[in-house]
Amino acid sequence: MPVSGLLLTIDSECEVELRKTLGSDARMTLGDTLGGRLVVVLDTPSQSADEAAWAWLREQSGVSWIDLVWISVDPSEADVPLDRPGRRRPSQVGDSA
Amino acid sequence: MSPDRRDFLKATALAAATVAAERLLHRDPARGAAPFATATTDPGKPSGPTWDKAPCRFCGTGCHVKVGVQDGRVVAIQGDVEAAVNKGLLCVKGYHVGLALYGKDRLTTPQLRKNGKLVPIGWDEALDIIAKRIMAAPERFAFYGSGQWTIPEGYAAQKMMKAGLSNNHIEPNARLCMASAVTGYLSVYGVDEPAGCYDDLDVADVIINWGNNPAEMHPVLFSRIVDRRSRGESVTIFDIGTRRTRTTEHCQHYLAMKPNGDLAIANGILHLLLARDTYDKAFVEKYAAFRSASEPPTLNGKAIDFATFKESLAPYTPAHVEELSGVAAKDIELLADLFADPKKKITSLWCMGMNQHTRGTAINSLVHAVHLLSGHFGTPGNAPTSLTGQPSACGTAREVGTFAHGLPGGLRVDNAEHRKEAEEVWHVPTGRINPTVGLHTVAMWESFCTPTESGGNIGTIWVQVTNPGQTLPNLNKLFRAKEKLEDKFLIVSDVYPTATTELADLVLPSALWVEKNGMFGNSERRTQQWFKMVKPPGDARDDCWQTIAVAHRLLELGHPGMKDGDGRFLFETKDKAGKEVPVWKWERYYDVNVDERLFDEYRQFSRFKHKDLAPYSEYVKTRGLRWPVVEKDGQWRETRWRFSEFDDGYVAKGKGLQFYHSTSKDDRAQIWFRPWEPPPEVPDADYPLWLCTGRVVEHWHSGTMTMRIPPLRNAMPGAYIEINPEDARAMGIGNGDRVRLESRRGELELRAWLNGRGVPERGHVFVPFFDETKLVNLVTLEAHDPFSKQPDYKKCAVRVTRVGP
Repeated sequence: MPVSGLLLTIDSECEVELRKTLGSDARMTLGDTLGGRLVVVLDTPSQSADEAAWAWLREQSGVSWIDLVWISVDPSEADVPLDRPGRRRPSQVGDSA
Repeated sequence: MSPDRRDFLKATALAAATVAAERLLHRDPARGAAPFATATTDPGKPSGPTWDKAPCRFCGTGCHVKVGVQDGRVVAIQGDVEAAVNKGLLCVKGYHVGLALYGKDRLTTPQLRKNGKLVPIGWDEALDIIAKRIMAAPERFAFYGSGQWTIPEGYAAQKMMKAGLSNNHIEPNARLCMASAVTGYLSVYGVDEPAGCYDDLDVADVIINWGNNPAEMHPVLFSRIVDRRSRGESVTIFDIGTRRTRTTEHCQHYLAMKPNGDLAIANGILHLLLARDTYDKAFVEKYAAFRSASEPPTLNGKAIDFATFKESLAPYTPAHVEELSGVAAKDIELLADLFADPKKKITSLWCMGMNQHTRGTAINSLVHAVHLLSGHFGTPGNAPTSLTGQPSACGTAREVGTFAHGLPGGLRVDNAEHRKEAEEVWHVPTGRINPTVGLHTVAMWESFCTPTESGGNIGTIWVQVTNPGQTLPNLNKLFRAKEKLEDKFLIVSDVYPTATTELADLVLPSALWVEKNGMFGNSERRTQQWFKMVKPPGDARDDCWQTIAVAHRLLELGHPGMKDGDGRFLFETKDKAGKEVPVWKWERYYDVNVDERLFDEYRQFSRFKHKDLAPYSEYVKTRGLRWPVVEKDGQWRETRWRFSEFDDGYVAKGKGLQFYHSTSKDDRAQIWFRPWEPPPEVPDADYPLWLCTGRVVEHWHSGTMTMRIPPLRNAMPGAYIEINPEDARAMGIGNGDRVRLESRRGELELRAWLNGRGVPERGHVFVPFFDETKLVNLVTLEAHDPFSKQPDYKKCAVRVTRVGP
């Protein structure tokens, strides 16, 4: 269940319409627009849904680029097709801090 | 996950993104060249973090970060708003780079394999083992580093090997990622590295990505391009490749090609420019000459005349190119039309797609040829520019020359004059440098993995800052075969356990990034510097110190090569009072700035090929300078566009453009004819699919660092296989199914991901290589380019079968 902090580089003329479209989408929480960059938090139920949301965002008129600046995925909730990290060498591949 | 936890994460994400946006909003690009005041604290927060500058540890873009340190730990990372490269922006890896230091399984003590297990030992014992091993058979020793070596680290290794041991068996893993770019530049301009720079991306009308996915691999640079659209600028972007990627989504034109189709496409453009008489005659007349392959083949080939060149290209009609490449004839004509327009500013970008190619030198020189024949060269926005994947592939591997044939500054070991120049700088006796080129990467590891009695002459390899146990091609042959060879000895310096340490006989714990002083050189010739900010954990120590300490042990054992012409230690280092500092003793290593001493020695080499570097102290004040950096009136001035009179001080007045290292000795660049050829292995009835390997945005290279960063590992926890959905349907494979991937060399199991991050064309599959638990290089092919010796990781024949759900 990924939660991502995004900066959308947007065309200022499209901001009102974009806020309306994105704001009505339950996956998105909108923040401020600063210097042509709209702050968006994207909350999706799976990594596949996250990819689909990215693709949808990229298709929105007025969105020219998406920067991913923060991401959190609960490893216990990551969906297929991605396997869990392997444990081929359990004594050497430790968990991270 | 509880709702409270989820709300907390969303609030954190909102805050992080808002802070990043605010920093970008308040940046002042005009301050980009301002001197950097090191180690500052935030105004009004004297007890807060101390901030200092550093280039990011990961890719070759060379973004600068500000590193916040408190209580001896890196506690915060910011994009550096005054850095010209990234202007405050970072990618998701860059924002998390500080966490790379703090994985729980950091290596903290030397370990020796005894009875099959790695057991802790002391540094003295470790250094003795290495020195005695080298001393016993210096000619059977090899050093394998990377484009992640800092410049001083690579220089120290280079000097120990070539000025000390008279041994040229030193290679960087950069052989695996950009060697074909090097041979491309050398064969066209007579000297390595791009003429243009990132500034081209700000003004080009057309950007052509040749087998390149910068949206994931160089996201900050790609952002710089597409950001222009939000400012109302028009930029046309092409994606030429075998797989739809995140880059494709931002391109007006996606040209799906067959493997090796790039050779045909470039020849098709050249053909049309000639057939339609739309090439730049004035440019060609003044600045270009023509070349084709010689017999026997050499990097510089043979001169041909214009008529022969034109005749050679005659078969590459749009229809024939469509047949060879799979790209529609109308798209070849579209590209030719763009190059025919002198008003369009065109920049080509490429990375592994063109370099990891058995015809890598050929396709590199062909893309240069397209730019030269059309005159799209040498002015802002007109450039053929390779991108590098590692932070100092240019600065260390290419400029310090840590290749089996190289010497610093673009010199070569098989050139008597070059050896003489290097021996003078190093102040070693004439004849010290071995004139025979050493073993290139594939040959080195093949020799290491071959029994001694069968001619496997390399007996000991010391690996620093890289992970060949995961990244070499055909791992069963080139790495894992070592396991059965008891007389072979593998030394690995690294920061975490890896697929390479798994077979190591001796493991040395290394300092990482801001745990040591360092310098990198990025893709646009920009040399960058940083200072040590925190201590490495446990008994981890700098790679550069490790090399110098081993060199001193060799001196103590009586190796004559560890003395210079005056009988002094090769790495003798003196303090400002002129007194020798025993830097081979760890407790004394930071009594002086060893990086500064080594760099200021090394920079003497930079003048031989007009790659002038400024004194170390100049880099302390900046966020990097692009070479050649030339002093004028007491000021050090960088160069953005090489060979162009308006910016490059080495171009003679009135010349316009001057290729001052021209292989034809007449200041001209070489326009090559290089025919299309098929790939070395093509799908057949047994192995009917093409395999391409590569990277993902969340992970950097083999994942040694990024898999220890929880947000990145959790976002992309394991490798997968992308299959074209129609192919998957035909094979009965559904999304998430477990499949077996097999080639003639090896196999592994993966989960299928359909319509995921990328979508391969029909008949193709893609697997990323970051996951050490799913080693795709068990499957890949070690066939390599005849000039660059760079293997092809982008195309080999495989089959895929469903194993289960």
